[in-house]
Amino acid sequence: MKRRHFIRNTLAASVAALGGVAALQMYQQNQLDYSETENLGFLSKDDQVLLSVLIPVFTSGIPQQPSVAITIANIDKAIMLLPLRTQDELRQLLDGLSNSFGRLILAQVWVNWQAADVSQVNQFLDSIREHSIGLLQDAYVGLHKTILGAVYAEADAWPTIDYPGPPF
Amino acid sequence: MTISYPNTTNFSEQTPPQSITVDLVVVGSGAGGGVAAEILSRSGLKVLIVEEGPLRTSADFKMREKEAYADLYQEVASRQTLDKSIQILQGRCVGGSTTVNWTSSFRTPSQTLDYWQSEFNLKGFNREALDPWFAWAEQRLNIAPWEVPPNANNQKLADGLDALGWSHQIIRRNVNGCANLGYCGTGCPINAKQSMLVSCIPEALKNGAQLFSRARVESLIVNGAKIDGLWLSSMDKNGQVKQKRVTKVVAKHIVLSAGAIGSPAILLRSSQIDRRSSLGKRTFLHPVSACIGRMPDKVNAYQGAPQSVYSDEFLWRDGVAGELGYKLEAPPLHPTISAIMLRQHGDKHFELMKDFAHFHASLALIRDGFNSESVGGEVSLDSYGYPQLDYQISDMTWRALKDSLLKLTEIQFAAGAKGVLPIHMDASFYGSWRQAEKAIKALPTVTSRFQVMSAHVMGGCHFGGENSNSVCDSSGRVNGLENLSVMDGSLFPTSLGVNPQLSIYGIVAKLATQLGKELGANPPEDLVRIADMIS
Ligand SMILES: Cc1cc2nc3c(=O)[nH]c(=O)nc-3n(C[C@H](O)[C@H](O)[C@H](O)COP(=O)(O)OP(=O)(O)OC[C@H]3O[C@@H](n4cnc5c(N)ncnc54)[C@H](O)[C@@H]3O)c2cc1C
Ligand code: SF4
Repeated sequence: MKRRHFIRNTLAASVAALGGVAALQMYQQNQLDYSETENLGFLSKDDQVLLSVLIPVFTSGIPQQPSVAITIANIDKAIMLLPLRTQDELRQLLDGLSNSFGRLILAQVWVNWQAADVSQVNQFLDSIREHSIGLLQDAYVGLHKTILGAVYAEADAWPTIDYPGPPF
Repeated sequence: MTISYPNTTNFSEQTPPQSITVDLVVVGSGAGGGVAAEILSRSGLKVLIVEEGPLRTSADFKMREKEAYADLYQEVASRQTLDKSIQILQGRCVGGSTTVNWTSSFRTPSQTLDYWQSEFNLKGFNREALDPWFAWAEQRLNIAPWEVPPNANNQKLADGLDALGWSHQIIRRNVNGCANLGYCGTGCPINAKQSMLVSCIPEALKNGAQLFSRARVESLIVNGAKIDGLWLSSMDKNGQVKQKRVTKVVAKHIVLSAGAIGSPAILLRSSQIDRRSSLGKRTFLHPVSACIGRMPDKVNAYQGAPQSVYSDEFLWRDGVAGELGYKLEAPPLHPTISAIMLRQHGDKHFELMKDFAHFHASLALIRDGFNSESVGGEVSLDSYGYPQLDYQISDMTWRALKDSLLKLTEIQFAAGAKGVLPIHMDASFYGSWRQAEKAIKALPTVTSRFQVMSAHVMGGCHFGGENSNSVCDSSGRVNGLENLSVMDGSLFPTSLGVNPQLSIYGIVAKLATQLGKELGANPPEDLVRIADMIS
């Protein structure tokens, strides 16, 4: 099976765990709001919407919430530097999460992501972190590295961890 | 002191020449390429250095991970093995990994050299033959024991080892006027670190060498037993191929110093290269296990010379060829690297990160390759012709990784840690050594959970004598090709058991001097004297 299809089917299978029918209904009502998205080099508008849901959850413990827009811009710049093979893999992962099946999983929070319930997305991340399917664990690690790497690369995050920054 | 870089062409911004003819081309400007370029240009040869990364200097080094990883590292510091189990740090800029390395300097251990002789029939690389070359490199790069007291992060390692009665020593560093800043990994901002960027590369340029940056060697032009030249691609500012085969380089001799993934990749991309040897195989990593200890006082592990204390207590724990031994060191911590290492999200992640200043980190480098069960990884090409490394962690390596986690944990508690976190996705902070011991023994040794790292890539074009299935002979020549040599970390038939840079400097000094003589050039007198004294 092609990797992309595998991601899609795997995600579809996970929908059940999140209350499939209810999720489906909510998904059908779902209208994505693209108003905050930009034209970036790698990240599509769908990717940006997805990241704008995930970034605040990955970083929810940080007292000073990082700027989602800056984080997304940094992620995009970093991806442009990666080898093409890795870019292909990321494209498959992000498509898998943004396509109809992936959205179903997130559907319950996605209905209105600006008012998203952090704990539900958190649960989703918990579940892929521990998932028996390696590909979903990889997805967790990939998102984790991409998002938290970009957040702590910015000086805004440093005071919260008592890091003074470079000496000059 | 400003350092000048004359004769350089940046292929992403300037128009590359269609062709160029030189005596000798050095591919890659890291540890191996730097020393080779200096010696061979000082020998009177017209040398061209080709580097796929950018030329960045101290003026660009802002001590920030964001810019440094993007500019100076392979794959934005997120290179990994094919199954994503091992995170690999390697440099990709003028100076190669030496521009970002942590300055620890060790001569190749005698046990390693003896093993190469007995298992790979390698002649001329024993203690007596190599020590004068190491001495030369030490003088050239100002390598000396670190006299300043270790930073708190390294001191904790020493304290823990002392408390348990285990040995430790002070690390030697290649620095001159080091201000103890702690930012070696993002490029030394004051040119104190004697990396290739500030030493051998400028010296080669002063001697008339030319440097092409953002120029990648695509493939060699093979003509029977001879290499006629090579093809360069230009790279854009994102490090992607801008134009394939823009420049043809014609040279009498070619030296590959593109590092232990880059050099085999060039050979694999070239047609008519013999693949029956170990080409691309026996790639070793010194797989690293790591632990974080939460200390009652602030450690600020980002501050001060990054590495100054080590322990070889367990390096040869079961002899040379038995269970794999490991070297213990302390790595620096910076925000991004730490955030990525701690694989949690939301509150749980910040709960860990908030103690960043109190973190003490230590690591174990597993000495892979000294056993028939430890065969290392294999470099191959993806559909874009870009290298990828398949490294399967053997049962023996898992045993060593786990054993080392136990030791690191015990040492951290002995140093006063209030909690210790082994870097593993199923681990959490443990409050006592007993609790940690029990938990670590139960941690799964599987690739997706056990977080393994490496900053030491070696092998893939290993040298050796007869019947060793080697890629190169003991002079570094690629077998069957008269005018192609390898001079970098990819020559090593096993890992080293020590951080690699000084081994590369010393061994390449020997090989480059020998090559200079063979090509009828005039290598520097001090080096010829060493060569004559030994032969
Ligand atoms: C963060 C970090 C810390 C380290 N700390 C230490 C330490 O404290 N002590 C120590 O001894 N070692 C340390 N090392 C390792 C050490 O620096 C390396 O082992 C050593 O530099 C390897 O030398 P090399 O010549 O084999 O390759 P490199 O130094 O990696 O140089 C290879 C160069 O070739 C270029 N290249 C690759 N392919 C091509 C191509 N096709 N065309 C043109 N150019 C190409 C690369 O961009 C790179 O610049 C560290 C490494 C890292 C990354
Ligand atoms: S610790 Fe020394 S060598 Fe390293 S970056 Fe700071 S000043 Fe330079």
